[in-house]
Amino acid sequence: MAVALVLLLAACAGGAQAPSEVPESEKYGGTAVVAMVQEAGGMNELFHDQSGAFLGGEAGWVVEPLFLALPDGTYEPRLAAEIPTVDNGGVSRGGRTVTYRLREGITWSDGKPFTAEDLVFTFDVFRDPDSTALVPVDYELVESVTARDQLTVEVQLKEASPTYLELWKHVMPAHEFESTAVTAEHPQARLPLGTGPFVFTDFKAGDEIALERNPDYWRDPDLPYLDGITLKIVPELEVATTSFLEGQYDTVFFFTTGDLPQLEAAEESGAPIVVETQETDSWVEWLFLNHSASGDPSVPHPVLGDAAIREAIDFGIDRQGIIDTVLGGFGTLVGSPIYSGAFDVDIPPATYDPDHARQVLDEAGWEPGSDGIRVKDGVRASLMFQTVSGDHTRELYQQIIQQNLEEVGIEMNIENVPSNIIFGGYEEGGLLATGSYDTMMSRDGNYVDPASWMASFTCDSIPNEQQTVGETYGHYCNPEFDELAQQAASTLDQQERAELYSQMAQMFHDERVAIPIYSSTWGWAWNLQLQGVSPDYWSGVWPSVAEWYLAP
Amino acid sequence: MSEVREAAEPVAAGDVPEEKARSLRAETWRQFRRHRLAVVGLAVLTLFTVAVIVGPWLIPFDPYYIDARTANLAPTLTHPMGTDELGRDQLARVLIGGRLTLAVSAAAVLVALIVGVAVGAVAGYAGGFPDNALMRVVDVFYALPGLFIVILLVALIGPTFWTIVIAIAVLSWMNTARLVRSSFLSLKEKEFVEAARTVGVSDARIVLRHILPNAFSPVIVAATLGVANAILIESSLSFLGLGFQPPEATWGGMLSESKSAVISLGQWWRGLFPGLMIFITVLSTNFIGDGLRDALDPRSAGNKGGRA
Amino acid sequence: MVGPYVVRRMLQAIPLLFGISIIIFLMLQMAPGGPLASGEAQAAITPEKIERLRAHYGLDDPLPIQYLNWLGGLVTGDWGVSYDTGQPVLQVITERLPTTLALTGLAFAVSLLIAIPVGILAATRQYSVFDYASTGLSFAGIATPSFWFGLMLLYLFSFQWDLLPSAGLTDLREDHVGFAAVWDRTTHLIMPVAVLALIATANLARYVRASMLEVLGQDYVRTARGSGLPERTVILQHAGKNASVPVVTIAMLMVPELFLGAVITETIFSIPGMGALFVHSAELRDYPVLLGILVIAAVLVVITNLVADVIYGLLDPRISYE
Repeated sequence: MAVALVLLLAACAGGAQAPSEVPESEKYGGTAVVAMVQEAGGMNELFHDQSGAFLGGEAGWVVEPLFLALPDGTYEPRLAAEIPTVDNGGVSRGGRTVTYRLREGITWSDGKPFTAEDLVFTFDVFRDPDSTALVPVDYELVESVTARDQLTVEVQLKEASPTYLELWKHVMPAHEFESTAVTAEHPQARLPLGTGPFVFTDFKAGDEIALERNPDYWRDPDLPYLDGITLKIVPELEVATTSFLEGQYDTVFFFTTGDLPQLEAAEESGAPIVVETQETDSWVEWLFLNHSASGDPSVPHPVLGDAAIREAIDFGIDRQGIIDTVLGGFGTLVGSPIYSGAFDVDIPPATYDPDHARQVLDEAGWEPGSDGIRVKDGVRASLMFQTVSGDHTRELYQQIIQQNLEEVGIEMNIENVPSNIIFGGYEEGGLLATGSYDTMMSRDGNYVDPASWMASFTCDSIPNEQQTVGETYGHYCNPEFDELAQQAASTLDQQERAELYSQMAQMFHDERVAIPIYSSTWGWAWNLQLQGVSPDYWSGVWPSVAEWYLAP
Repeated sequence: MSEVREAAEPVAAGDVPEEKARSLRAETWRQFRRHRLAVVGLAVLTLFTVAVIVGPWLIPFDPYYIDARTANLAPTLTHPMGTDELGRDQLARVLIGGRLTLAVSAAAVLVALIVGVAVGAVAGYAGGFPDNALMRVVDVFYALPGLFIVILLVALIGPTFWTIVIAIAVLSWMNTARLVRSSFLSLKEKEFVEAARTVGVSDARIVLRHILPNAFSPVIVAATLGVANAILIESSLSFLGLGFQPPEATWGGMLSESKSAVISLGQWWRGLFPGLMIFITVLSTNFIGDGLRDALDPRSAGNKGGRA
Repeated sequence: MVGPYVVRRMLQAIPLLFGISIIIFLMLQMAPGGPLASGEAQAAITPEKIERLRAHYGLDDPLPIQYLNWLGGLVTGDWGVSYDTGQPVLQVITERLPTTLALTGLAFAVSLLIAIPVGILAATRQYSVFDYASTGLSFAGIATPSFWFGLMLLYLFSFQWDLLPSAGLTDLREDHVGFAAVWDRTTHLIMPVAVLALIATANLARYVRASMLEVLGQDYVRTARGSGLPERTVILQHAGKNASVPVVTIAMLMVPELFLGAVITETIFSIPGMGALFVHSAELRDYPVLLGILVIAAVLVVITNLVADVIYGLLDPRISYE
């Protein structure tokens, strides 16, 4: 019986492997095997928000964007022929009309031409209330989209907005659809067709995703060098990492800061891998503070409403200690909410100074109680401390923060919960949306353009019973801040925006709207036999995929 | 089922005069002592229980105090079980974690016991429609895919002490209910119950004072084995990332925390000690359960295997 | 005689499954937080998207309507659509089911192949070294947390000694054919099957031993022995047949336990089966898939119980099907 079952399983395995063709040249080719730690339900970023879908979308393996962001926050055209500006006539004087011109000669991987109709169709899908595509906020600003000719699209904006280059990061092939009411059940929502260097051929849920090279890739007939890529789904990160070090995988999508010490140690002790890290800031781990009591922005939070408490938290956390103890030295300190992209504002982070924290609390009238936790007017300085449950590295520094703050007299009770309870909508009782939390740890803030990120600290972002839509961090409501955000989001003058964002960042920092903990160091590691890998500032090593090849 | 009724028989034979009950208890204990492994198990479990209650006060380390200077130390005389990545003494963690492990398991078994006894007693004593209805409910819970439901309950509600306790208890009260019911069915026909009823003793009093004490022996065996089961389920939950909130940790949680330290860094002590504690505790509990079964049901002495 | 009995038992199973369906449906719907917002906030789950999805999946309907819709679909073969992948639930499950059934089947076969001979030998040589050793190992097997066992195997056989592959069911680097493919499969399955079979084997061995001991003490076995029949015949034919009744029952009841236990095994060894799907779907609150898996698991429990009852009757003529 046992033998029969093995045979049965072997028979089932027939089509499991990627075909092993002879490489085109002696140097290039082969099928790379990439371990994927977090499986996505589908590889189309417009329908799936898990990180795995990134490879099908923004990383440009299969689907490509109109514009690519550069490290300094400016853009270069990819599917577009040029960057529309006022000077080249792409943007009208008032900024409400933008003309996008597409590059000539681009084809979808099935050979059909890529045209202006595809852009119009993609916008129509977003607008269709029966479609379930993700709705990036940037499309809210669009009034209408018209195809002027095969390669020209004209967009009317509701008001002038500097974020028009964020549109069409992902274009859908109109010829694959019958209507704009596209839902997640459509095959294209799972494995999208694109213009990129690779084509999806198969997706076995929980097992593997297969990609083959696009033989007619428009950028260069020699690209991509690889014959194909197999994404192997390995849910246990420890197993994926160790197997990678043993050479079973060419790389892993993706490593986090917590993995870097182990990878570097392995590289030093002779494992056949390359480790590369990026020295600049990426996603910051924030301690979001709830400024309101029970979701009502007119009533301040009984504990966190006091600026002294917020200041004590800021000075009471040993950030460098976290980086050294838990992250093996990988990670940088950041003090500004806008620390990357075009409007980078440099503000130094608070230094670790528990004495100062204690002094601030003493002066504000928070007296230590018998258990060392401070009390003022009968209110105990005791806070819930939450993040997504089940993240081991985070739990480690949560405990350090807990101990740090206990030493200055603030109690942090860790109560981690599943992500949907945190990020659920207002009607579903999501903790962030309804303001049912004290402090919440989450990563955010790494944006080319900070407009939408800053918008989540405005009064308008706070949902209530009448207006249940809104994405807020902190139930923070300050009309002065809102005024600046409004101005910055509606002017095209980059100089003026830089000035406005600088003011907002300073205000954010002074008010301690949220407390930055550390900025994760980005790092990648790949097997020595995988060549041609180069990291990109915003998206890591993944966009360089067309140049990858396996050394013989 | 027949086996169970027989187990209850010798105890239930009469109107349980004090003296006789005492001699029965002595007899049970005598039988239990003959099961050498059970005695060893009882000794070990008692030792562990005392250790996790008293131990944290005796050793010079705070299980929660983070100190980067003592991180990742292999076992030495100072730290017999080594330290973790936050520099906490593992022995202190194992002791305080054992407290939580045993508390969770005991609480889960207790809750299951209360529900099971209540359902079984009502069904068995009332008979007829209530009995039928309750037994259908028991059937439904038996057919639920246990481990899946436990995982789901904790994943959906979030890991707290009571979520975990209830999730385990919800899936383990049915056995007790069936045992108690069958004991009741046979006991309620006995002369001493009839006698009490004719004298006008209330139903509640009959159940609580006369029947329940006599129905308990098979339940005790089931409960003992239930503790072992609860420990294993809790450790599986922890492994799947559904354990307690830091800084608390059960043995299962410590094992789960040690995954990368063991696999990637070769820090064997991180996985060995909590794993060993689970292993020894479950083993001891199973021995005790076996011993109790033999003692309470002399006919099956040494012959029965039991499902953990 | 057996036929009508089986039919009647199957009819009895219908209200049972009905009850289960209500419990699991309510359990999911009562859970805090909606199903549609898992994942980090940075991944752009706008409230608009959640509203559109709620309407799209009919989550705005009253609970009883949702339940009836789901139940109706269950009967007609439309089990809904995965919130995660957009694929029909039945398709998602049937892609994964064969792997887990094969794993369960292999573990079951391995348990039987080890536990039965060991149990019989231990019983016929009671108090021998073999008896003590096997009983000790059974106790140890029952007390070992299976994920711990799995991690230890992984640590030793994959990472320390590099003897066995650590993940999945096939070698991704090379395309094996013929016997090499079978060998490839086998090496991938050794550790998962060992982990899954551990507790079942240990339990079963204890049962076999206990049942054999009980039967060997009975009069008719003594008589058979006394009449000069060879020991082999006595043990296998006379004792074995009677001892097999409780063993078969217990063994059947272990099938669902193995099936559920695959959750841990598949997670450790990255095997794309139902268990891994379940854990993944629980993380994502993929209600339609979770409901589908729970239904399948419940049906499996009911079926194995039924089969155990029927076999029990077939082997033990004292039971009558009335």
